[in-house]
Amino acid sequence: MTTTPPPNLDADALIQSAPLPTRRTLRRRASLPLQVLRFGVLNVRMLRMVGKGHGDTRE
Amino acid sequence: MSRIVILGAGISGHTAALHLRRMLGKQHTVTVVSPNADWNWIPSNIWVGVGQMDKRQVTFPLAPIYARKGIEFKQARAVALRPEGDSAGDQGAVDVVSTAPETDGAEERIRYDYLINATGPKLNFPATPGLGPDGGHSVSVCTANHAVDASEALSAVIERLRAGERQRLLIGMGHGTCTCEGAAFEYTFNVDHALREAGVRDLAEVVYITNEASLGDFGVGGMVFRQQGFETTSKTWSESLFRERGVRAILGAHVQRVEDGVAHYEQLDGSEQSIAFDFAMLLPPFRGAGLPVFDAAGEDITDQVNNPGGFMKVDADYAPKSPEDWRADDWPRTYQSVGYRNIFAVGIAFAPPHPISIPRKSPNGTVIAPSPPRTGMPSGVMGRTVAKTIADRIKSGDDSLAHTASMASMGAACVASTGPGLRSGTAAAMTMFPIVPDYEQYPRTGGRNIKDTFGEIGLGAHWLKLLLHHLFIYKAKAKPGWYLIPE
Repeated sequence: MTTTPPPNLDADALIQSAPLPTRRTLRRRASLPLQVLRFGVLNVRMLRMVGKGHGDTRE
Repeated sequence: MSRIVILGAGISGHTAALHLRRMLGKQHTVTVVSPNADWNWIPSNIWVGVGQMDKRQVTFPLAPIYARKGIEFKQARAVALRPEGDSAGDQGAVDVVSTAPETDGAEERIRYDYLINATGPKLNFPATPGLGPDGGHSVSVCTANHAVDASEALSAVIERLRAGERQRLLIGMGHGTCTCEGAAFEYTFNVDHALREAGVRDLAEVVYITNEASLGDFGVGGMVFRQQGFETTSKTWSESLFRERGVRAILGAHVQRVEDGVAHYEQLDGSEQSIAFDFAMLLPPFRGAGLPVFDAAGEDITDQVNNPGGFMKVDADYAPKSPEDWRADDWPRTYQSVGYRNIFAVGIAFAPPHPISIPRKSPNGTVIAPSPPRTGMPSGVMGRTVAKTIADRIKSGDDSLAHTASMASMGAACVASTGPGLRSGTAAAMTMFPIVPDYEQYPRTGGRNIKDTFGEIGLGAHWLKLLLHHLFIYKAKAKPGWYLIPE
């Protein structure tokens, strides 16, 4: 059990120094054609993850 | 002819029951014991909790499904386990008390050949004085009914905001040892979305309070992602989201007690503070069902079978270890109970060997450490795996090898999505592989395969969440081809 507190509990400072998405990034997150593509990519990645780890193994 | 009894009809128990019924002939009996009449797709309770989905969209009655599939259903609560039988014989038995309206309180002793303990969590609201919707001062989204209450409380806050009153909404973990940080994270951003939709976000302060030492920990020690040619962390990724949405956070916090409109908490640095709120959705810590266990002579052997938290001990390595000595192999693979080859514990019911996040204590000795999550995807996989083991042992003999599914070799997804519409929502999707880091196999990327561990924000992730909602409810209703949908 670690008794040393984490280096920084000042959440407000941490959040304020985090990268802020640009307008372009925000537009991309809502862009219909791009998000259709990302949806496909996400599904492929999910299926690959499921295929790797949800398969059948024996003792 | 064998009888398999499954205690619990959540994701793991229900999955196990459906697979067992599919794999075994009708001469074998599959019995599900659950105190609840309805099945609940708990991940979508988040949407119920902000009024964007109706309770009926996330629940359905179990009895018609089980009647159609040929599964015996007893609406009852298990109260004692007798793995060595009793004076009437050495066949294992479980004592249950009916919770069905027509037979409420009736007791029954059910004999079994195989037993699956999928009793899920006991919501431990009493661990924090004043926590919870039943006599406390906070709401919850742990059950569909809790989520309905949360939605009503949120609506009242929105009305006050519309009247020009400033409001503070506190969302997060109601104790230092909670799990399911992902659910609180998701609810936070759903509330943020609901406030924006209502046009009152500027008058509301949204505060996320968590036992995580840093944002993005999620009870799994955080993740490393690859994004746009860089390796980044779930910490930076989450902090960025909090900054974008204007959500504040309180880190490394153990909520000590909740009073009317005030939460008192201690942080990892030992400081004790209070925060006033107008709305608080705080999740409780979990305990195991703590089913008492008796040997053939009626002696209490609960502490041989369960750990002190009420979770059932299985094939994990429970030797106390410091975090530096944790190994992927510590985690169970077969979920077979200690000492009983015909008893298994899956989902939240099994006792984890240790946390996944580094456990910490405040200088005052207060444990502030996220418990390991084992809900959703991994629960379903465990249910299916144990069903296969039991089916093999019934069909091919009791010496058949067990099927395995360790959380150190399976992945999981957490999709925090806002809004049920096709165009209006957005989501933060995360996947990790494996759930339990394997630092020997993936030493440079936080113990995980970076190709299968990623975070993404956008409309596409929101569609993924909607797809999962409909797919898993279709699967749980055992509609045609249900078993082709992976857990």
